[in-house]
Amino acid sequence: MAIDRRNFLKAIAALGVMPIATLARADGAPAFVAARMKGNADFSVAVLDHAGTVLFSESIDGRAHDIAISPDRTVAVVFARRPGFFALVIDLAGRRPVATFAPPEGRHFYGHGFFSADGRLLYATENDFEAERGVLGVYDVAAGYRRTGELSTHGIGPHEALLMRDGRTIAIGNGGVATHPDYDRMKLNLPTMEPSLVYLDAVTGDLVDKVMLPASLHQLSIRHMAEAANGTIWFGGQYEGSETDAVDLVGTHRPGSDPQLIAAPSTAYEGMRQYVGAVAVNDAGTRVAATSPVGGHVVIFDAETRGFVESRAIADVCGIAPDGRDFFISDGRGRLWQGPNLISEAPDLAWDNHVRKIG
Amino acid sequence: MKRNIILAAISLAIAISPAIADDEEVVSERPTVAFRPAVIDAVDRIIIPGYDALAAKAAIEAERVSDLCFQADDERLALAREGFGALVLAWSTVEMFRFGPVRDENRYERLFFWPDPRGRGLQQVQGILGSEDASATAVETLRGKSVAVQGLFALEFVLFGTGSDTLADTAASDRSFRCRYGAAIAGAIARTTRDLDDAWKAEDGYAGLMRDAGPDNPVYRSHGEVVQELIKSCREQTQLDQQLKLAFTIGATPDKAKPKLAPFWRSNLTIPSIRANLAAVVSLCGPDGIGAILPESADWQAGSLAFEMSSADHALAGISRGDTPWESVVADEHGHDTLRYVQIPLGGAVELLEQGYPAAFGLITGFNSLDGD
Repeated sequence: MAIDRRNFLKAIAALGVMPIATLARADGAPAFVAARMKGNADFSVAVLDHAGTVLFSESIDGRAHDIAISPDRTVAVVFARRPGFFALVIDLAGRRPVATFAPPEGRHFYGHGFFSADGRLLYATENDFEAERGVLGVYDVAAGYRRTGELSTHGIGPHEALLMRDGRTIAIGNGGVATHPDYDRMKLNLPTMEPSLVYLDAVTGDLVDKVMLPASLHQLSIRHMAEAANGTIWFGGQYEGSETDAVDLVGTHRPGSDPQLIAAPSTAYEGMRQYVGAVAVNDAGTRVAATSPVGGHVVIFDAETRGFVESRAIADVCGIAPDGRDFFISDGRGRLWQGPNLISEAPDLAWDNHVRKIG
Repeated sequence: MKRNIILAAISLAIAISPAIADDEEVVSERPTVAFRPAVIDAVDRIIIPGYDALAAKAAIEAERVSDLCFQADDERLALAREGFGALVLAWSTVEMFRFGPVRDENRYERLFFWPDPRGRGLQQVQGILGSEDASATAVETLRGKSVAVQGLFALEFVLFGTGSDTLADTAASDRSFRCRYGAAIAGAIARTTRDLDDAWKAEDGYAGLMRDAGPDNPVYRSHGEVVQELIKSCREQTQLDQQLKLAFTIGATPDKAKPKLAPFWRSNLTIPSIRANLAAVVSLCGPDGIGAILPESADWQAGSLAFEMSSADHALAGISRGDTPWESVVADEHGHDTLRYVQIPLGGAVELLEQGYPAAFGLITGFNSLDGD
């Protein structure tokens, strides 16, 4: 059920600091990081260049999820998939793993995290599962990722969290779904779930704002998010209610206002099957994309007008990161896409839910 | 795939906006397998009769508990408890279906609030009994309360929990409230199960959605997707019985067991309900169900699934004879060993449903489309 911490640490110790290099094009510069599975149970995290060429990869003991990139772009921290019990620190310049760490007793990672603006702290979304509350674990980078404390996320089931462009405000998507590692990934509170978007002051840890969707949408779990250039948070939801409900899955929020879901042609949301797996804003800040592995579609919106732009069919698509005016996209069938163009395919590979741009 | 890339390129080139690209095959299916008959069979032979039976047993139980309140005696209490057993077994045959109308109005949790690791349900039920909250004695107002106080576990506590013997004792001062609350729970269960049954069978109901799977269907784009959902139900239920109801509650040794985390220990229906779960899985996915349409090269898997399940069932039957309480079975060395053994064939069944069946049908769930993040 859970990743065995001791085995993982043993495996890392046995590995030493030897990178498992699969150097295909050594001239490429590290551009993206993503977790993946080869075959049936061979897990690793890969660093890719812009062309999707794997520059190097590191074996990991179980399935990973998202990656945090340090502000100076020298370090990537890979989090285990929930209920996650390990994180791996990779030196991107040295192309080697440099540390591993785990959440404390009574907590597990949800799979997402981010660095503070000065790069000194790493924050990870975590489950305080006995108390059934979400926390952000705070780790001191210079002290070897020692956990120095935690902040309440003011909700259950925090998933993706990010530091906004102001360098001070933390935005958190509290999915609202209670889980407990004893019960694997079972959802324990669907009738009473209360997803929310929460903003914290990174300096004081104070709650800045907490917003919720209307009561009729209390089963739309807010999981993934990205900040557009204008400071708007775009979020994607996963609906836990009836399969036959037609629900708008993507929304926006500006601090001080109510969250607003975005209308799109019904076929666009139908193609997502009530499930958004990742959200990204392009480098130009003009487009926002949400992916659905369940429905096999990427849906793209205009960041300013909030209008629907297009939908692309890609089976088992999930990972998405900004790439110029478009997006770098990965799927569970071993394929990588630059915008609409397929750039790489490896049928024995499955790219995991998230791909993160370095810088 | 190339076709899709070309399509995407064309749609960009001619700048049709907004553009929605064609569906890429989400589930690759073997065209030689005729999935539709298996879907029709599952709906007509298992799902609808299963919900019919559940609603019928719930209606009977509502009457029996009302009877008990009208006139308290041992015989009526025994009938109400027996009716509860029949209701639980009827539930256990449809417990595996976590899709469709059970997802509306929290019907699943209204009936079966489990697991409940924090014991919220018990606390709330005891709170109602302690305060004699009159609004819990009418179906309508009870339905407005927490889902944990209106389902099978709430009724189980009323009928079998501490103090339940007062239900047959006309002299007991707290009998009247307890019974009226029990009758309201049974009435609420009857209502929920009737709603479920209706929602499956309605003209525009969920059965129709499954039968008429296709590209324009809002939930199922093909009958293969429906079969995939059904196999998933079989796999998840078997896994849940193996891992959560058994392995987790019995622990590695009797002294590490937490038998009261298992469902229906109060009514001693833990093992019978698990057996009913497994029988339902065999009925749906075994040789007479979805297993019957496995491609010839893989049809041995249906027999193998039935064999694994029958081994588990036989072992469970052997330790549940008589009235030995579940906790005693778990505490007994032979009982504990047997419950540990049962997990082996169940593991085999899970593997068949997780790997063998989907591979044989070409119904591979996407890496990122598993119950995800």
